Amino acid sequence: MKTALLLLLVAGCIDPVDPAWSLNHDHVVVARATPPRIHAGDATTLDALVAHAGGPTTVESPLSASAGRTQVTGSIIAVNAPKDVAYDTGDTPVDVLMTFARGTNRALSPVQVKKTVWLGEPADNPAMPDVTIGGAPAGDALTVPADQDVYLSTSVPAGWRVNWLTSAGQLFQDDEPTSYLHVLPADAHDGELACVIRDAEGGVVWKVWPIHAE
Amino acid sequence: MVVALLVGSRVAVAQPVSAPVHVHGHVRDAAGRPVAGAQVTIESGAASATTDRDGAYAIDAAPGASLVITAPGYALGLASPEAADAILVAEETIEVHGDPPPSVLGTAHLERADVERLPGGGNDILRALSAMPGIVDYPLPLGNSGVVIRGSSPQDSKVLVDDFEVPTLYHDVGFRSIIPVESIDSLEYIPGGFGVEVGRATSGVIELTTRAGSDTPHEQAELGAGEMSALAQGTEHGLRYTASVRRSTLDLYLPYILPPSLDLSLTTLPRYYDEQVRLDYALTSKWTLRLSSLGSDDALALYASRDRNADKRYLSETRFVRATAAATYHDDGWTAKLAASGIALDSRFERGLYQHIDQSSPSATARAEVSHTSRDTAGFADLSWRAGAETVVTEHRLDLAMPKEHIEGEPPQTVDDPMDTSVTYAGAFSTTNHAAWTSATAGLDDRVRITGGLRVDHFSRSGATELQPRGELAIGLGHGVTARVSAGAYSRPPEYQTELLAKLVPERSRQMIGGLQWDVADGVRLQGSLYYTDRDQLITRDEMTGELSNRGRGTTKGAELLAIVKRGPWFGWLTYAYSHSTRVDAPGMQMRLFDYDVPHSLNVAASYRVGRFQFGARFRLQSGLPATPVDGAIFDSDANVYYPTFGPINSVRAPTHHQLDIRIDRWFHWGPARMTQFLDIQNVYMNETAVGYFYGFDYTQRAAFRQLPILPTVGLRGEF
Repeated sequence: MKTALLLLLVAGCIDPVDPAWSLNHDHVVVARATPPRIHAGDATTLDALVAHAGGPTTVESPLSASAGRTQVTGSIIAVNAPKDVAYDTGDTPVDVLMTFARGTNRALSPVQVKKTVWLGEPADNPAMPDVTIGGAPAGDALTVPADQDVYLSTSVPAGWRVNWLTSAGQLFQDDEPTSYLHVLPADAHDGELACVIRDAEGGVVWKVWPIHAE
Repeated sequence: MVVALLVGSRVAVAQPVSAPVHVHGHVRDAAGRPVAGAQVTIESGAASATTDRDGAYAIDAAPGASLVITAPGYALGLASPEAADAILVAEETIEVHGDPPPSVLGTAHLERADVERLPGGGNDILRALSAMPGIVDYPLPLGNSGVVIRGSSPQDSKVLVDDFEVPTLYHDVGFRSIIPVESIDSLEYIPGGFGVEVGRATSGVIELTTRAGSDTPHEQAELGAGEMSALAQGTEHGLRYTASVRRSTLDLYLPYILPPSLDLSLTTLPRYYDEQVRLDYALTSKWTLRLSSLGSDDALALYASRDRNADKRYLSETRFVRATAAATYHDDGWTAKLAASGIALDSRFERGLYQHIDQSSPSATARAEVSHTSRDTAGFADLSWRAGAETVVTEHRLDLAMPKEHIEGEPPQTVDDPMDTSVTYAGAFSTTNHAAWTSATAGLDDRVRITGGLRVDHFSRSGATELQPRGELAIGLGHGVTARVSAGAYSRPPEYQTELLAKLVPERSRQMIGGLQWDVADGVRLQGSLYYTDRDQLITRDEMTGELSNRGRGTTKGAELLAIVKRGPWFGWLTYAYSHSTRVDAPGMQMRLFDYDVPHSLNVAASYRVGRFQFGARFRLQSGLPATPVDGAIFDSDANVYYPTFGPINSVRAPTHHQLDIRIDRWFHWGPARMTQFLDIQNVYMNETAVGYFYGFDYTQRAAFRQLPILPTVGLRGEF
């Protein structure tokens, strides 16, 4: 059946949908807990990188959150792990279910997002590793040549996952540390490029650059 | 066995060259017997003549004109006034079977020539089947058999080639049937109510009979848009032979048509081969021996990335060969068939770093059947009975790590996790399925015929034994009208992943069919039937535990109409099917539609042969398939996956689809070769109806799989 789907795709019998790497599509790109691992009884702050159709990405706090023992304080939503639970068997996951507004179109129903916070030995989110764009270190704003492959690369330890997203051009191998960006003449030449990294411990880091193709 | 040889002899050519000449000729068959009633037509249609009882004809024709010869049961022949004593070799082989004609109401029997002239069939068996009443017409093959009959599941129906099952009817690449139309003699579509000699199916059966060798040597080669093939047949020292081989050509041009924007790296270009060999030899006047082979080999390997990342690798290889030896004895009403068949099947599938299937399943079948037909016996007008037995031994060697197999009614596996290996198995087990059957048919008088029989299947994997009584009552009502009522029990064992669980027992069905068959005139038949099928022990998965069990029940009810016209140059085909298939997956659960429930299906086709051309058109209309809607999704941020939440199962339906197909055939001579050229175009007015739905990565966008907008198939065949 997968062969069938592939050949159907080749034959053009499938309606197009926005790819997962598109930042020009209302969706939650990634949720983050800061820090992702805490002692029982400590707090962590939750937010998410949200992509918007036709607009830049934003970092947003959840509209609501719930877990077995979640507390909400003011505009900050934190997971307060209870001290009365024994965690002598090592790290314990607490699944936090949140709702976020999906992009700028508030008429759309909010999206539910699950993020796991780990109780045990504390750990921070990872630091953003070096990223090269077209063979050169990425600056704060990117300018790339149009209508040719632009090499995107970063280096992460084994077990970490990398996702590239953009609102300008097409991405290939968007879930590999090495990816390609190709801005066709018909594509938007201005937008954003994002690199999202998930480590093996629940940590998250991202970087978003404004990008221009010429 | 009669092989047609049309002979136009002693064609006199008069002078002057430009004036019409009076042509005399004869049409004979392979044995030199005259063919009476053959139509000889000047290509322009200016004049025609009919052969007399001696096969002779006379016609006035201009020098250089082509004479087209047609006769029922024979292939089209060509002659010209200049080609005196020309011998025209017909391709048609007409096999006279010792078995009685199919007695099941609703059966559609098509000769090879019928399949070839069916518009929209593209000279392919699988596509031609879409014209049958009760077949779910879908742009892709469904399940391993490739077909769904009467709205049930793909596993419920079987495809038999010369009485033996084939593991699949189609190539993974290109979805062409594993047997080219040129290699079959006929196709019989039995949507239900089949006899005791066929088992391990709970819906319908498709029986393909391969093509026997002709009396005279005959070769042909064909080049199509996606494949090329060659076939040779003839008789040498009493040995009739047919051998054909086919290869896809997709791999030759695919690299040039793939858009460069595809994130794809093909390492083994998609290709397939298949072969068919059949040898027939008359050992004595009573014994005939048949050896046959049928094989298929598909391969495809690619990386869904430019850099050939190992986690984006995809490989699919399937190859099998079935070899069969069969001996048949005929003598004074007695028929005995002894057959042994073996199949070697190897299949390999790999996806990414974790998912794989490595399967080797050699299987051997021994089958014996005896039948006897007599007249005026024991007070019956005629009496026939049959008894047979069959044993199928299969050794399954399997190394598997895959997601859970999709079970009928489950929502599609929308979360595509290449690391999902929920089902793992490494080992071997064997299955032995025994079957025995007997039935008797008696003509109570000239109008009433009754058939009763029993089939017993024993499945060693589960230890289950199924008793399946089947019977039919046929009453002649006069004026060519026959009323028929049949009922029977059927079963099929678990297959694929469900076969791994020895606790699962066979699924069962009970079918009741009633209707009328009207032989309106020679070559014109009309059938109408109502049916009801009750199913139980359906394999379902528990929503909470994920366990498989036989707790499902289901019913299918419907009506089918089939009208066939084969008269002179006309071929007409009309089918309409109504079906309603529902099931309950476990006691207390809500009733729902089967995945392939199709309420309405209509096919109207007509084909007309004139001169060297044949024109055909076919209109089809079919209800859309049910689908399960997605209500929303939850984003698991750590896994970077949106998990959908579903609405009621199969509670929405794709829109009704209709399309028009056309076909043009042309015959001509090219040197010593008789050439056939065809153009078959599906979906002429490009109706791109949605046939199914899928969702974007976050389930906020619903998109459709659509019918191919237009699909032309061209072919050129040379016969020597």
